[in-house]
Amino acid sequence: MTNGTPLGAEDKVFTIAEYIELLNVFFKAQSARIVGEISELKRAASGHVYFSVKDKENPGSLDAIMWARNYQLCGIALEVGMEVILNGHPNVYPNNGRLSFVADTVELVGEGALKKAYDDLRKKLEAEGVFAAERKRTLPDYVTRIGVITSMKGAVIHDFENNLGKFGFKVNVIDSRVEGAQAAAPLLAAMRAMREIVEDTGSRGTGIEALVIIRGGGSLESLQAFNNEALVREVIDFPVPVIAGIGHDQDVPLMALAADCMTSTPTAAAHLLSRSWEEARVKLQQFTGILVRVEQEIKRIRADLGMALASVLDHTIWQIESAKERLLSAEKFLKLNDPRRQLKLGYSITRQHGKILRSSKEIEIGDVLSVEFSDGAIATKVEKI
Amino acid sequence: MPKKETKSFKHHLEEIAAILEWFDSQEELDVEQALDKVKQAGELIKLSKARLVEVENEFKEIKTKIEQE
Repeated sequence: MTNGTPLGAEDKVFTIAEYIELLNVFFKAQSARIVGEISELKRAASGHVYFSVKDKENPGSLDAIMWARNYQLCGIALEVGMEVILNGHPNVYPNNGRLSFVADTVELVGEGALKKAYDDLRKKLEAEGVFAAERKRTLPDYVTRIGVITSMKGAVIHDFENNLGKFGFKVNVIDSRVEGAQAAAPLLAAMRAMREIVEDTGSRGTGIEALVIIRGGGSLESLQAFNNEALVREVIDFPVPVIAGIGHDQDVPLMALAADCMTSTPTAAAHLLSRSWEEARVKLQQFTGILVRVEQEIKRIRADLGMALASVLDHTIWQIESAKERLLSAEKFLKLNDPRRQLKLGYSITRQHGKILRSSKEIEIGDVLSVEFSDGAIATKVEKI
Repeated sequence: MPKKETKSFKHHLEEIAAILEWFDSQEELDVEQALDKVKQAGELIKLSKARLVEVENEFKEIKTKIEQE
């Protein structure tokens, strides 16, 4: 139609409903981002939001609708007077032929408005204790199975993987848009898919132990999705610890504040995961060094003991030999000094009443004496002196 | 080796040494005493030799065990 091409066959006559349906198929493909100021606004009981946006500079106004699900996800409380960028497509309501812009996402325009929304939400979440340290879970040591949500287009995922180190991590990556407010829906979908992986601890055992959400640095505008309330709540309810590695200038993304571990870059997030492994590797190296030293010490002590033992053995041998020599020498000495040896040489011992006689003056004629020889004794009577 | 027996062996050696000294110190040998001393020393030498054989065997066993470890 934009090039003058007719929507249907020239001869075909459409019913109104058929024609509106045909238009809506065409409009569905005419996605656009439009900027305007909210002029009227009505929130229906169903949660859907009906509003008008008008051009700030020129005459021009469009009715707009935001379905409840998308409105909840956008995390912005729309108000009259707000300047917003809507992402969506036109649609004709069949009942009255009224054209409306169906907004899938809404973004605030201007740093000031973004900052105010950021500050308001931050204050609200702080009051709820969403960022409280007591609520945060500790990242377990030696994590091996990691879920990663990021854009596969940039260098971020490569930086992350290169900095993880070779510790056998099993990384499950889900690609998601990460730029602008429009990233909120895909990020949320990615987190929900990750939740299913966490809970899948069945036969495949693919459950992850930690979730990492990473992207490079950006302005408040480009990081809008990371300040989305629905995503923040998904983070705090996530079944395993969440690490945020989201680069930022000044205002820390609210999702990062809510995460269990916050790092300023994807590289730092990788280091956080590999830290316990790295420490273990260093400890192992130190332990190996200690083992080598202990082994050397044992060898040294063994050598010392061997020498000491040899010395003790030698000393004992010397003592035994020495004792033998002393006994042998004593035997020889005693043999030489044994009075019985003199008897064998022909000497004899004369006794009277058992007492050895050393002089002839000790005896008288008639005394009975005993004379001992080497082989026996005799009794004899003194007849002459 | 029990401590008591070590003392005993040592004591025997000391007694033998004392007997030998006694012989050395005698200017005039008392034959009866000399005989007693020879008998006494002979007994002590016999006991000491027996103990020395035991000690030597015990030592050989210990040395073999240590060398096998």
